[in-house]
Amino acid sequence: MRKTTTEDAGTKGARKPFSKGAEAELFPDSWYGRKALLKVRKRKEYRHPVLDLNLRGRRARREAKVLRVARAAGVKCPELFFEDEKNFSLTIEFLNGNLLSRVGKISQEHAREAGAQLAKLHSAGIAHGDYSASNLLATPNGICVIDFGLAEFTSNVEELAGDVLLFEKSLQTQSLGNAGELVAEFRKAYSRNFPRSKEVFSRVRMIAARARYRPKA
Amino acid sequence: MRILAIESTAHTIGVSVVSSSARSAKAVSLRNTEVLSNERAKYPSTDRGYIPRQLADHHAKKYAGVLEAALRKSKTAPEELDCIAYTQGPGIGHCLRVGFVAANSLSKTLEVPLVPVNHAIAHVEVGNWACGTKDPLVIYVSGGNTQIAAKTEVREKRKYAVLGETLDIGIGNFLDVLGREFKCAPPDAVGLLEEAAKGGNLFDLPYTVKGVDLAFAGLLTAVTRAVGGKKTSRRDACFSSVQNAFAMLVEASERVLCHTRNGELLLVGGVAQSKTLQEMYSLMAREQGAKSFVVPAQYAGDQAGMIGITAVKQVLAGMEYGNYEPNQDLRIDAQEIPW
Repeated sequence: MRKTTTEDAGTKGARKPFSKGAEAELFPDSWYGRKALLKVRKRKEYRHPVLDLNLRGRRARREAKVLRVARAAGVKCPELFFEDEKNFSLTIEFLNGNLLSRVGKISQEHAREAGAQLAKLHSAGIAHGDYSASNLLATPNGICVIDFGLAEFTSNVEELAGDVLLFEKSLQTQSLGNAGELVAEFRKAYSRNFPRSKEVFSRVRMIAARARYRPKA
Repeated sequence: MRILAIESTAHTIGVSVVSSSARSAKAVSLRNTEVLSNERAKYPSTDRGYIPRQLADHHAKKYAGVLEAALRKSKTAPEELDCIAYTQGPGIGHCLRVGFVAANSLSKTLEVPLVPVNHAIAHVEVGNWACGTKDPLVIYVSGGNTQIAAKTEVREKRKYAVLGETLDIGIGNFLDVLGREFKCAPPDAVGLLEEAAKGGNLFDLPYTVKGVDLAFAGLLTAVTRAVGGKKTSRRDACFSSVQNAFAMLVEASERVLCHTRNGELLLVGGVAQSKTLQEMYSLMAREQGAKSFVVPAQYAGDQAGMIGITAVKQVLAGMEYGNYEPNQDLRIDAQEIPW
């Protein structure tokens, strides 16, 4: 049985976090000889303790379930090795690659694969909730989706459109003047693989128009 | 340089006189730039919210008195003024128009230039001036606005980019509606926050963070329904909705901070006065290794001092303007920041 707890994972001097995100810390780990990451959701001091416990528990359980379903549906994402329900931590497969937010220039191929993976995820009834370039990994095996911390089981067009919108926003900030082309490639691949794409795109327009003080399209 | 500034975005009409001896926009600081007077009149909150026409009438009626007080307290004769600044937007059209007409007539009579100022940028710049921050991640929280923004450079143009924001209503509007709903005193965000500070039991409510964006409408519906259906007490409802809304805001900001890695956090806008929110932000900043700053209370809500401070920077930067008309939908990212 594993003995790592949330506490000692966070304080053990030898174990430096591999990455420290807003929501969770990732520690290098191994699982029966395979390279793994231990994802620990830390207590947030700023949140009311009851709210904090509810959120961390809910999100860890949901993330574990989403990972299983997404893998089964053929989405390129890490395999879930172990779910520690007491400490809200997950042991997941380590994937080698570069974050799409760090590759410098996002290629058309990247944009296409991001569209295809998102379509698969949506077809499996999952909305990612934070589908930005920082949560996509360019690996030798293609684009992989990571960090399902905010993912939800839903086919609600609003949530699906949220994923599309967020990714397109991150293309805008990261592209070197060719955001338009990348968005077009992303959308083409998405619609080829997801029958409800038209409905999703029209909701994207609605959401953009709804935000405060947006320039009117 | 001495600037008279007029603010008339929503519930407040304000006039301020600001003087500065700064040599460049970048150098503007507490040491060389001073707010000599910062007078205002606020339309009182009612249990029915605000009606734009009535706000504008209020501003038109109060303007002369506020102007007179601002000149008197700063010991300024109109001839000493170098420019007239005013809020161009965003805001309520009726109200913006009053400030624009006032500023325009002063500028024509005194034969000094007119300086249009973006209200959202002014909230940020007054914070930078008062706190000495240089390049903070800005959390701008007021009635109509809830934005997480930072200075970015795109193709050699500096701007405040909105990195996260509310997808429906501003957090201040959310708190105002609940303050009215629960008949707090006063019936707005201030009353609600006071009630919530008394503590209570937390009950489960929707918590909507979408990546780096937020939404408050679902939370608003759920909490009013829960009270209507007697599922919770008014006190617990006030406490829980504030805890939920602020945690959402801090979490979204933390997510943005993890991308941008700014060393400073700056909380501005009317809602920045909440002690609860300030404490939550400083805890988050400490966790992420950033310094957290809060705009001083007298510069948090809407007032003309912030318009004056921003105008000083604009004048020193030699900014030019194509359009002076009020613009209700002006966004924080609509304008270049030369400094």
